[in-house]
Amino acid sequence: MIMKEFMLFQVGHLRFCLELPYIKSVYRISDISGISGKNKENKDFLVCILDNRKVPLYDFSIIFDIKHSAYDPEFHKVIRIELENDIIALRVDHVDGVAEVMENLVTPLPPVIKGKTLEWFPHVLQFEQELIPVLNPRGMTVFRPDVTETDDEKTCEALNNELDSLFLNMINQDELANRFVVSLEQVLGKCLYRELSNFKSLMGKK
Amino acid sequence: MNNFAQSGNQRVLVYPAKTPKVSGKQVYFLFALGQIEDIIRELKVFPLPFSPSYILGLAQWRDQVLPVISLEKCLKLPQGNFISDTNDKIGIKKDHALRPVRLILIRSDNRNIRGLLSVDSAIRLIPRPDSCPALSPGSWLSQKKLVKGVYEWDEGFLLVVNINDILNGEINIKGGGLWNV
Repeated sequence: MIMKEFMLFQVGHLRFCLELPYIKSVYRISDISGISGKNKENKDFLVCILDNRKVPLYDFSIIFDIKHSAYDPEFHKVIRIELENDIIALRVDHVDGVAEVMENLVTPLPPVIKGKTLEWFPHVLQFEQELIPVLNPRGMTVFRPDVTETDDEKTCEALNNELDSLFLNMINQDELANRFVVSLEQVLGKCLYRELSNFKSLMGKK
Repeated sequence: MNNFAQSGNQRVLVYPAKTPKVSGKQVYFLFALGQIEDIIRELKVFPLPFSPSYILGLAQWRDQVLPVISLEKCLKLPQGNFISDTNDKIGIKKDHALRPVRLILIRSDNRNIRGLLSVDSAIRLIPRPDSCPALSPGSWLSQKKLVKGVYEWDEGFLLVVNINDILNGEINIKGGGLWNV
């Protein structure tokens, strides 16, 4: 008898599950930084920073338009999901735990159900008198925000990385200060140059 | 569409569609008894994200996972004053869960595929009606491909639906999903 492990979680009144091997970590929402909207046209897409990497954040309460939760938002969770070449994050209200179930309790959706439902939830788990949709992260990532970093973001990240490296290597304070100033000048210089260009352009029009 | 053959002793199942009257007549769904496997009084229905409005959710019946279907919504029959209890954004029921409904367990002709039809009104077993003239589907019936026939009956219109196509998902209706494709 083949057994499978699933993590069960809740968003509002809805319960979902996900195969355990996809899940690498579960964080408290308050431990996650850099949560922001990325796509102005579709505010359902968010991004966040996980281990210094910008990843798409799928907030199920937004996606499913669920406004009420039995759980304090401060204790909501972010699940880190790793696919072959991709990392995504999933914001949920509560993680119920892990269930080990027989494989035959995981059933494909009936043929009448197609489209996006099938891409996101191709199976359903029969568990404790409930039918729980099984999330397919690969199907979910078909609809993902663009998390490509802008030039400014790349410059800032490079600066952060360099500072991290300097701290780690315990370079003396003078050199640290010098390199910090140089890097800061690069960033500020770039911004100033752009603002100056904008200003000149505006003045030229007048 | 042909007229019904003479009934003999055959019986059929009918129930009124939850839709306003058409040309002053009630619309009924008609099924042969061979298509019906069971009538279930109470069953928990679980919502399914992004599903089209005619899928009310999933239910468990003898270890099988079956779709719960609204034929009225599937055929896009007029809604009238009927107030939907679904969340238009994704089709999840607002009261989420587990509201027991009366269901007809129906199966495809080859008996391989099953589904549950949600029924709010009285289900009747009647002798197969004799000499009901076939009608051309009116403009009120937009999903004509999903209907095998419309017949004029003493009490109203009888709709014989193409349940095989419905259970097989041969339905060209976009759902209410946020990013529905």
